[in-house]
Amino acid sequence: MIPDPDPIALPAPVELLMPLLVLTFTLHILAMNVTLGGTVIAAVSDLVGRRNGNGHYRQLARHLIAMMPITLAATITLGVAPLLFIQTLYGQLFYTSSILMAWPWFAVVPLVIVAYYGIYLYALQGERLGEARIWVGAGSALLLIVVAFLYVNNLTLMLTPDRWSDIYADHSNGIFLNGAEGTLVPRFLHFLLAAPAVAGAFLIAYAAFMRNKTEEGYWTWAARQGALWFIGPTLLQLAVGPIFLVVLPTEIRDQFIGDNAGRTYLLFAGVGISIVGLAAMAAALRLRNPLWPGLAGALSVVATVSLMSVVRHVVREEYLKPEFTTSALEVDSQTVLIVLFFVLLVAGVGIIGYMLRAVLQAARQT
Amino acid sequence: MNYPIWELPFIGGGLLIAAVAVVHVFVSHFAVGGGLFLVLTETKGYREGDQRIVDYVRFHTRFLILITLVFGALTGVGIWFTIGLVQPAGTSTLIHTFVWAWAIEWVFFAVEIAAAFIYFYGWDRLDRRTHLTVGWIYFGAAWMSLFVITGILSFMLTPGDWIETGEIRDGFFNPTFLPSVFLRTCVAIALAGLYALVTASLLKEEDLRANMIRYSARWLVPAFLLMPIGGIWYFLEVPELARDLIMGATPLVLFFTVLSIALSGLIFAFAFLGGHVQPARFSLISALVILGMGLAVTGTSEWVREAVRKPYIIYDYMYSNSILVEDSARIKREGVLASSKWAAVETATAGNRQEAGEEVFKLLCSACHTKDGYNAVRPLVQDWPEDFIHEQLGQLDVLKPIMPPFLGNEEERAALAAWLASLDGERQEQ
Repeated sequence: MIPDPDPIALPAPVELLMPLLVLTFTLHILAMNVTLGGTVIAAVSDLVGRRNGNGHYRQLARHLIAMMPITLAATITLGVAPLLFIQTLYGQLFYTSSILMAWPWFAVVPLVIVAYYGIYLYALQGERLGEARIWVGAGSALLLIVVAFLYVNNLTLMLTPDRWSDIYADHSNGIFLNGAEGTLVPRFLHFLLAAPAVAGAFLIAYAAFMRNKTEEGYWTWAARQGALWFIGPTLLQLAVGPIFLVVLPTEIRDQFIGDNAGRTYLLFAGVGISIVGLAAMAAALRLRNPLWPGLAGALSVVATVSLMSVVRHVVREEYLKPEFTTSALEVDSQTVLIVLFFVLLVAGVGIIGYMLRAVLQAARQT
Repeated sequence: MNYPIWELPFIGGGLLIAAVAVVHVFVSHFAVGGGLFLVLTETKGYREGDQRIVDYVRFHTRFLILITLVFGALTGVGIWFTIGLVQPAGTSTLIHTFVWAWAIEWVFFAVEIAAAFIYFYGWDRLDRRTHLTVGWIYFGAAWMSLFVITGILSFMLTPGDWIETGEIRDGFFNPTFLPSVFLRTCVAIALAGLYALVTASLLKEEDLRANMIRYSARWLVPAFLLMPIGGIWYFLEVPELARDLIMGATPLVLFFTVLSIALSGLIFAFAFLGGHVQPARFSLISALVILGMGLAVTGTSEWVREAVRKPYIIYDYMYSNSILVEDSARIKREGVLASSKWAAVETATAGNRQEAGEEVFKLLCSACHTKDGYNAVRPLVQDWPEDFIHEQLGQLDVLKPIMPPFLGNEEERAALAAWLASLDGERQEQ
């Protein structure tokens, strides 16, 4: 019972739209992980600092939360692009699964608004709020976790059209969550655990930036905090990841464990790089200067997330293959506009770069 | 017919879209006009050498950031979520036709967001010239974003030659595009003034407060001089049926049009007389009341814009109930139940009229009507005998030009008539 694809032809080849979808999704998920993980780390550091009186924790919390409004804006902005491309390529599937869980899906928007204002409150009025700010931060993080859970619900529901008609027969009021989906919980945990790990990598970049602005004791401490936040969740990931793999339908799983060489390499490259990342982060904890191994670890995180985004995409295509494949879609390219888009994209990135350079230069001078 | 239908009792999907869209429009136009306000007012502060004005702009920046970057941006995403849930087929058309226009808009949006932050955080860090440049980049990107979205929005009412050619440039540069850009730019500038009245009224020093209130009130002048011209221009370009609707073919549309114009006049009068002539007596409450009236104008005008598009989602292409005009003959022949992938009833027969009728209502009518809530059908058919309803259904588009023709076969029409007639009885039982 899959709705027909839109009768209007795709305005660009799948070979162009698909990489854009995966690329923008990767950027979105990285920013999302930094925001969710960063908010958690800020609140936890604030709490720990209150308990043990170590001023480093407080400073870290203050600096980190001050960046979260920006990273959340980046998450939203970078999320709009994959939202556009997923509707272009998989619209008939995505709209249907969204409608089946209409109310929870609709709730995403107000939940993010409230979480966002919470983060702003923490960042701009933290002093005035006193200790209550920790709970504001925790509340915002919790709301973002709920949002992530709703996303996992919809994007798994989208992959199983054979279940839709039964769901619709019982839930045409749009109050539904995809609880019966076997991969739901491992998948959710897999994505969730990445948040503090990626935010840990972000902390190392932050420590590198602070190197010339704070005393050595602080920035090396912050870098090691980043390594710790990476190592703990990633060790757990070594358990959750395989469980997620095991609960995938057999014919999909088998492709990643030997049946298809390319896909197996892809998955294990991602796993391997994350283990290298673990080693680098462990070195950052041990060595006197944690920065270089830490930055190497941070790079490995970006590489792992990118590879896993591709894995995620392959899994999606495999799920849908019996019913629908994007390569069957008709194409009628809007060449002029495609060129215009890329020209403007380069110009836009250039303008953002110019503004960032100006503000960073000014920051360095003060 | 392609998608399942989200049953939204009482409010209906249309009203939900409207609720999200109206608050978004009200904030996003401020995001555009407010950008111009920031840079021009900052320049004014430097030119007059008055640091207090500069400090006010800085305060206003935070206000703008907190409202537009959070609420404005997310309600914009919220419109996507909502129309995807309520009007998936129409949304899909807009996405598939305009992917690259959206992608281009996204670039402007990203620049806008980045510039807003850098302007905000740059108050302490950047030199004046760079800071103003960033402000101008913000306004330019925000306005370009308005420019692109307006092309797509106005396409829905006047798709122009796109209907024949299918060419995106025909759809984008459609007959109401330029007047819409003109009108929306005016609205953005006026809203910049309305929001600024709120922050200006909070200033402590009396002379500065009076000065800034007077200054903010003046931001309403260009809009109120130019909007009548834009309105007439727009009116001349809309389809004939839409013009008739505005002129009173449907009294409610005329009423809302008049209301919108009257409220706009009142806002101007209050803001100008209250703010410009007697700034000392202009309080935060006055500013908020006028801002509330601004929201009401936004609501009524957007309502009119949506109403005059009936009976279509995309004019001459897709009816309000998501049926393509080109499919309508086939669906009348084969039946809407048979044409729908999700109908709980496969065909209407003499034996299943109630059940089939309710399903037909869901497929054909629920895009605009609820049973008992917004635009409810029960009161509309009150005391109508079944054969009269049946008769009416046969010529819906003739009797009510804002409705599509009945797009089902004979059995389905009979079933819908039977179900509608039974609503009256249901009420009497209650």
